[in-house]
Amino acid sequence: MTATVSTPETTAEVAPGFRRPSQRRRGPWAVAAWVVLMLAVPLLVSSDQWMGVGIFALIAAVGVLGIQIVMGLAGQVSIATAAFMPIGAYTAAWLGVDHGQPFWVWLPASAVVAGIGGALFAPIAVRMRGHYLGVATLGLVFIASYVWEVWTDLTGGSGGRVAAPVVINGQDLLDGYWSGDTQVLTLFQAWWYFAFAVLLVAMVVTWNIKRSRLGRAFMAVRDKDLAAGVVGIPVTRTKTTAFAISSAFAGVSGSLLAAYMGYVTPAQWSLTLSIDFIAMAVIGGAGTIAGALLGALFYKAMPEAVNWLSTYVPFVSQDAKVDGGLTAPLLSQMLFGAAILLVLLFEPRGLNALVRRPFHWARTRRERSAR
Amino acid sequence: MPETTNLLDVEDLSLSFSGVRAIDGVTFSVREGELFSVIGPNGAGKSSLFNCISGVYKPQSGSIRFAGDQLIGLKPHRIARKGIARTFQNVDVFPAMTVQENLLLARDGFMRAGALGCMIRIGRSAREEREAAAAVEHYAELLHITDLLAAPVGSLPHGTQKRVELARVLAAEPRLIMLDEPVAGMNHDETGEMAATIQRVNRELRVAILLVEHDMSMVMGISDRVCALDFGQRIALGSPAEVAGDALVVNAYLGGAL
Repeated sequence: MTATVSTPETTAEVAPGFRRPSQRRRGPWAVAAWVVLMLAVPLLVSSDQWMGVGIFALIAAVGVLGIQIVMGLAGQVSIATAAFMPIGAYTAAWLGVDHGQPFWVWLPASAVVAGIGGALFAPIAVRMRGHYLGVATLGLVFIASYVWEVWTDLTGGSGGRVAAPVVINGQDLLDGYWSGDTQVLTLFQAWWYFAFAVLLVAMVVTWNIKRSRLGRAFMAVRDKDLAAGVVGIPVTRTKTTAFAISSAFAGVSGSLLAAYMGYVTPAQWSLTLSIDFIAMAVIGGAGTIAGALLGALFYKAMPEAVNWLSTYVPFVSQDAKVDGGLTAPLLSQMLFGAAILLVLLFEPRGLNALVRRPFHWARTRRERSAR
Repeated sequence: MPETTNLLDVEDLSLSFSGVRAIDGVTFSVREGELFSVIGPNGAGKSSLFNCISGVYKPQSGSIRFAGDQLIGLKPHRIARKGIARTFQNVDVFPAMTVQENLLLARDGFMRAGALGCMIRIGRSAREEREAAAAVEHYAELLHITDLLAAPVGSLPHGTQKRVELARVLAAEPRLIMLDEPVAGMNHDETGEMAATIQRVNRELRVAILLVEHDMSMVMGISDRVCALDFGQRIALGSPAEVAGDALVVNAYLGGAL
């Protein structure tokens, strides 16, 4: 897996300001079109189930961006997402519920506190590399889940607790958005827009980091940390910053997830969650911004899609059975696994590269015919 | 002797790896604006010397002073920020990054924007990025790699990567440039071209250059002074002509072969 994570940026992505003329004009339009499409989704999708899947994907994508920064850009293996997400979630719950603070206080605070958590872990992290670092971050997840179980005043113990609500204009978004007696936005529509707004900010921040001195320092440390030092990059501080920023993103993702679900339990922050996030980053395309959303969408939507598909496959029982045989949940798991393998087999650079392929193909064709 | 200030003072430097002496009591100094070469056969300790100066290795004894400041014990990035830029024997560019990004790395020392500034990119951080890009453009022109700025360095041929590395070194606007075997693996024409470039950089930009080289003929043509090492010890120091005629140097280069 390490090999896939450290895969260099796609060659199609060139430095800002040096895009080919055709690209330079198209980039902003493509982004604008995408934003419009994202805003239109709640109007086009009527199924609550699929909207829910979409909202989970948007929230997860924020955390995946954090993985893109620490693993994709800075090349530091981290399985600690499941340790930093709850830091954000409980910070939010403490401020939002116990102290009645609005979301514009608890949301940034969840980023700051989780970011500090990441920075505190960094002195350990910078002393390790590769697999060792991965295993060390694994330890962090175990320690954290113990803390959530025993710190009952904050977390409510294994029974869980109520999460911070997103209240806008005195209205809890989990009730939708009302104007007088008419509902303007359903719960799903309101949350889609809210999560999308947060994701958009996270994407802009990541994009800025990528083309700044910080992003270059990350990449230099990823490629050759010894040479990076000789060039003048402070290696230890750069790694620390990468961990802090990535944890802050995880914190925001965690507080959003808890707020959307309305309730938060220690059991949900398991190691599997960390693995899910790494899988989303790799499937989407390591280190890429669009890949964070694509990977999250794939990961959240694919099980639903295969679940739905499996009802049309003959000889499959719809219920779980104890006497063996093929059941729908089993089949969907298998198909989901196969889908992951197929993506990585045919495009190791992930969905981001896969989606760009037709555009790239069309451009090279156009350029060839222009000659 | 005319009054010239020393930029780099290496005194009685010793480095050993588990008992093997790689550098054994070496002393020399590089003057402001000088083109100083260190020669010696394979395993003489030339690259180890470079790694001590740039902070990659920690010597057991001796001192390295740069413009009066002790360098031993400093981290590599601190030494780089003092105004020492170097290349590596095997080109050490960052292959997954573009030429522009590689050169911009060298401008990092001129930038002050913090992590938050980088995330928001308004005001100072945006201005610094623009200034850095302009400086990079300038040094790219100097080494004729402007057309390649958007290309990932890993996709370029070896000789071009060496030019990118040199451009990165220049973009740092250092007071001392250390070049580790800049013509290794180059043919006769390329070697001549590189030698001319090095000389031009030294004369026109008035930067002191510390050159480590295996290829004697190239060094002798362009250096102000030469220091010869063998088995980690200094065996000669002086003008190219003096060193080339030194019996110990001749012996070191040819002795083993005879």
